[in-house]
Amino acid sequence: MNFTTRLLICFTILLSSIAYAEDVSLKLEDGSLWNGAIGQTVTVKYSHRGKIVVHEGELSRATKTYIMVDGEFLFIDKIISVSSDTSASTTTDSSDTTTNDEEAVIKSDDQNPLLKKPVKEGDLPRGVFTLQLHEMVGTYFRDNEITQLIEYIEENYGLGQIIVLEIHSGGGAVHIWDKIRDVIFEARDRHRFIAWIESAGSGAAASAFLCDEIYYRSYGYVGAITMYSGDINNVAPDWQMDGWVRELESVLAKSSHSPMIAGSMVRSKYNFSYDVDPETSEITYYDHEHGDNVLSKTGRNMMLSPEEALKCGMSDGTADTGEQLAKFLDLDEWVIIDPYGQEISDKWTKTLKEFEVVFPELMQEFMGNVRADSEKKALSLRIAAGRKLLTWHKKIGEDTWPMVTRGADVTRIKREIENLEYQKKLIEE
Amino acid sequence: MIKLATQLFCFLCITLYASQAMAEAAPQEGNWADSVVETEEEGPGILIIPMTGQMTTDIRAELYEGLVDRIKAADPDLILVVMLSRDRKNQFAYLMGYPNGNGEQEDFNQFDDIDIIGIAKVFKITLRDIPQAVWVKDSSGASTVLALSWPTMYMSEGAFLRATTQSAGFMNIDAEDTYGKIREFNVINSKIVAEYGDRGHALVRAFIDPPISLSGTWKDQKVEWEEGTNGDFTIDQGEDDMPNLAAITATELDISKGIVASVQDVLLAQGVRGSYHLVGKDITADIVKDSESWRKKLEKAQEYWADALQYEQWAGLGEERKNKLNELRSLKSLLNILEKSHPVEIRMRRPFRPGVTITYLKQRIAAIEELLETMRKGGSGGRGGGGGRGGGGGGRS
Repeated sequence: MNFTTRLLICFTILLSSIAYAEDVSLKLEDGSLWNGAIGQTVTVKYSHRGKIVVHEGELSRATKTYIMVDGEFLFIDKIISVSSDTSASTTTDSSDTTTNDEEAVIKSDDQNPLLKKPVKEGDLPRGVFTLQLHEMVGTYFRDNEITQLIEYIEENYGLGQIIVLEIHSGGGAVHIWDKIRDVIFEARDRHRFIAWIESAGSGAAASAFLCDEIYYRSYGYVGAITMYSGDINNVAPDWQMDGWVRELESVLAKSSHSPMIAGSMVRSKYNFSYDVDPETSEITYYDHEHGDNVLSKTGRNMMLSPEEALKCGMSDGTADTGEQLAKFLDLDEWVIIDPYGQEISDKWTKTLKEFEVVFPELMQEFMGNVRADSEKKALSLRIAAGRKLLTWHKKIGEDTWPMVTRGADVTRIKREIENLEYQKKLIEE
Repeated sequence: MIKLATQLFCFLCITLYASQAMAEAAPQEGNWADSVVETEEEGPGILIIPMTGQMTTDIRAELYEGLVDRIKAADPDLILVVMLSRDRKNQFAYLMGYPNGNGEQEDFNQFDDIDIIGIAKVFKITLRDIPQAVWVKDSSGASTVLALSWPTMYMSEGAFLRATTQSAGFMNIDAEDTYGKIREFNVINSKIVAEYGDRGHALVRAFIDPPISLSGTWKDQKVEWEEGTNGDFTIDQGEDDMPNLAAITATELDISKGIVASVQDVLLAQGVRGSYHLVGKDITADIVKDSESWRKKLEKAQEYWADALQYEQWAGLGEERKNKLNELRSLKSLLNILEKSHPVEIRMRRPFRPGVTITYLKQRIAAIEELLETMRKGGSGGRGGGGGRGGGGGGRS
């Protein structure tokens, strides 16, 4: 490859990176407007607890409430100024230098201080992929099916797809939520994740927060994310609960919804209320119960209904049918491109339902509740039951097994099979 | 004498004429709606959906889901839900705490919020394009909450909207975070009902959440409801108080649109003038028949269960094989009914009434079959058939 060719490739890459850089426009508290792009190096003067702190680094993410600079979350309403080394410009609404076009853009979306200019990258999706995430998080509602669907989509349809997670669950295991978070966050730059809520309590609510957008059915709800184990009075200790709140806040901050709702959903001592500016419709959230609209008081763990969520900016819309949802997603019609998600969800549900029936029967047989006319035959039947349990263990998987079997120890099952085989051998001899 | 008789005759004639004239001129009380007349096919088509009896059994989502296509085909201009679903036969029985006026403790309304939302979904989503109204003849607990999911409500003069404490299990939780969590889980559907019914969240919640208080303030022609006692008027003081609203109160507070005595009253209030006709009479009749039908099956189921217990007892006294066979037959017949009739299954599984579930019956049948097999092979039996009554209740009922 000669020098000219290399130069041409480098130049093309440079041009592409410039072309694909996402434009960002920030409206700061003092009314000034900063224009720049994701990936740009910026210097931000930021007000933090009464002091002015300077952050310098790459602008990696920007939402309507915060930006990320060099891995730090910076809330827009606390930014004093932004400057950059290249082409970024700062303008003031009232200044004469602001063009008429810029004014028009600002007025058209007053509620949103961040104005993103859409970047068209190839054809837009004409439909969606759906995945039904129902019942308990960790057993029926898992990361496995999400991973499977993403892999299938990327192999067959490519990037930039809309993945609708239909959530209908009262929650479940937090440690499995951790895996769901990793899977969705890893793929969120490549696909658009939509949570479509039938019901999302506890861990299911936390899962909905992982998505880019949240839509409710008219009977959907989201919230009440307190952690407890076994007995309802066995609540997680304070340090763990506060850690959970911090984790959810960081998830929400990455999802363009207010992180402030996390506390009141996890702990009953935290409150949540908000005001809506009658002129600008801008929403201000409070962690107390003195705002105009109180959504969580002491003694309750906030759970949002469709109307509440919509009014306070925590829902992107209410849709009972695919056709209604399609409009929100800017699709011409509701088209499920491929029913693969439905199929794998159905398949897993069927498998687990079958296992829930079979497991206690097999366990009983394995423990010796068998009908046999000889001891040898009884041992054989018990061994067979044990082997079936091991086959099921492979099917069900390490994560789900302990939750469905209430902790049946596979190592002990294996050892017991060996023990039974030994006894059988003794009889045969 | 003749003169006196003539004067008397004239006086009587005048009095008679005057009384007739007065009678024609005076409006007849309570008959304004007579101007709305039922015809065979003229005027708007009205579909009556009777919701009479017990929530979760007589009044259940599954029933209405099965009627959706027929309702759409009937193409009514208005669906009028007529609700008579209460725990006791009248307000006095409530005040005295008498058992159910219908004669059975079991007829008490069960609060199953999932089923309430299921019913609401049929009417608010699937049939949302058809105008609807509910006429509450009387309601209690779960049926009150369901009734509040219709924005347009009318009430009979003696009707009530009564609260229930059935979703207040969270009050037994000591840990404050799970208290708050389970409380919200238990009452979240009251918000959905409120949104379907275009009513304040606080209003509907007050009917199922004992600790909250409720007050309201008139704003324009509507009442704005709020938790607490800061409104202009207080309906519920909190912990030891829950709303039980008579029709007159509910109407004064804009919860009910008016007090009515007949379908014609409702239609008049809904703007119907002149004639109307009923559509989907077969649907209305089938809903009534459904109640009659499952209740007959319930009687049969209770009989089979009593037989099974009787045979079990007799098996211990002698003729074990014969009595066990009879017990098995009774249990299988009972299982057959439970598997086919959801309302009967709901009623039979209620704890201690008698608390028989499908799972329990299957286990019991398997145990008896095993015992009979052992006896057939010459064993002495003696195990597998015991257990007496009860099967663990379960479920939400």
